[in-house]
Amino acid sequence: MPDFAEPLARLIQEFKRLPGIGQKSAQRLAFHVLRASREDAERLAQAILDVKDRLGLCALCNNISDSELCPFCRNPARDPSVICVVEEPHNILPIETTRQYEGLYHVLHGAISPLRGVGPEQLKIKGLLERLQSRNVREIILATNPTVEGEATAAYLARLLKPLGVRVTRIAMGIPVGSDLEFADEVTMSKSLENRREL
Amino acid sequence: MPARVSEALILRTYPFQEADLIVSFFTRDLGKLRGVARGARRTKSKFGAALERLSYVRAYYFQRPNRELVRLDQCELLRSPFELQRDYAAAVALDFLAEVSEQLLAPAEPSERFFRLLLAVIEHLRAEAAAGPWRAVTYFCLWAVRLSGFLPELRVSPESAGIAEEMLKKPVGELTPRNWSKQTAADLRRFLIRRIEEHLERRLITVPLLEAL
Repeated sequence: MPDFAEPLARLIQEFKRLPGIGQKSAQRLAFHVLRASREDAERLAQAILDVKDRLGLCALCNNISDSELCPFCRNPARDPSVICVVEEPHNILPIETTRQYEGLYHVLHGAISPLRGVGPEQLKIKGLLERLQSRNVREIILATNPTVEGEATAAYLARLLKPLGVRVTRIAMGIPVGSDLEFADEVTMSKSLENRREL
Repeated sequence: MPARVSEALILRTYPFQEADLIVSFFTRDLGKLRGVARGARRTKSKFGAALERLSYVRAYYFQRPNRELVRLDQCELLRSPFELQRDYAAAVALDFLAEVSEQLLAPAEPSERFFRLLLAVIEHLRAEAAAGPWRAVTYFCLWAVRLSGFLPELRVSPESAGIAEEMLKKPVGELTPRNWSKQTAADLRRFLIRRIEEHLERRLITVPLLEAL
């Protein structure tokens, strides 16, 4: 590796710590910052600091928020009787892009994964139970990922929530739009058949 | 054209770069290998559900000399444990099996008997899901320790010693029917887990969740 000036080498080192960034990408980003104007660099630095200083978790749903409640929980037009449970805050975006869902969310901040040492206690499940007790919730949609961890989390939550008399549903799994049945594996195909609907 | 095709069990995956996975998989013929599955985290990935933990697959991969990581080109799913995830106890047990296998198996050392053990125990968990995971877990621990070559004298209750003796003689599906609970042969299970942890010189991270079931 060439010897860069200390501040540049430090910046490359910091970029390399970001997910998916290797040596070459880190160098490209660092040289981009070096060539950018001082204002651009300050804007980038300030944006990073703002994320750390001004963002926290929504008191109700644990989504990332810059105030006590996130925009979804603040919005009176949303239906508070339906809660969609997701693993991470970034899982909300694909659901919102459908423009079909009008309920609220609950972010677990992870999924049960004994292999990674993550059990139910490490997830934000307690807050979900409190929401069920204090509000009139009629349906919980479990939108955890279609992976073994997501499925185990959904199974755990279903076992916990069903005795509370709330309707518990799981998002459908199956063939992605635009793909080909020829390439579907056994699990995806059987889930598609299981979740089929009448036309 | 892939250089090799092996029957394999997926032990563990780690996110790598934007949409790839590093996969630890246990082949029947070449033992435990690690490889990169490009694009495996994309929605329309050609790997589909084949890279989920303990999936039984036919793996197509390319192995370069002196490279630790192979290139996984394709995985044809032969049997998936996905349906077992609906049962939380079975899901935790599967994670335990995967962790113990991942830790005990040496890289690139074939072990046909360990491979058959894993297949048999997963199949038993599937067939006897309603009975809970304890019989399968205890059977797996006993045989994993034996096949790894460090089965000591069993210092357990006479009842558990009898169960262990039978387990060493019969396949898991042919054991004398009994009502297995968490307490059945619990001393034997804990004794074996301790031996595994001593051998590995580290704690198994799935054990607290298993014992909390």
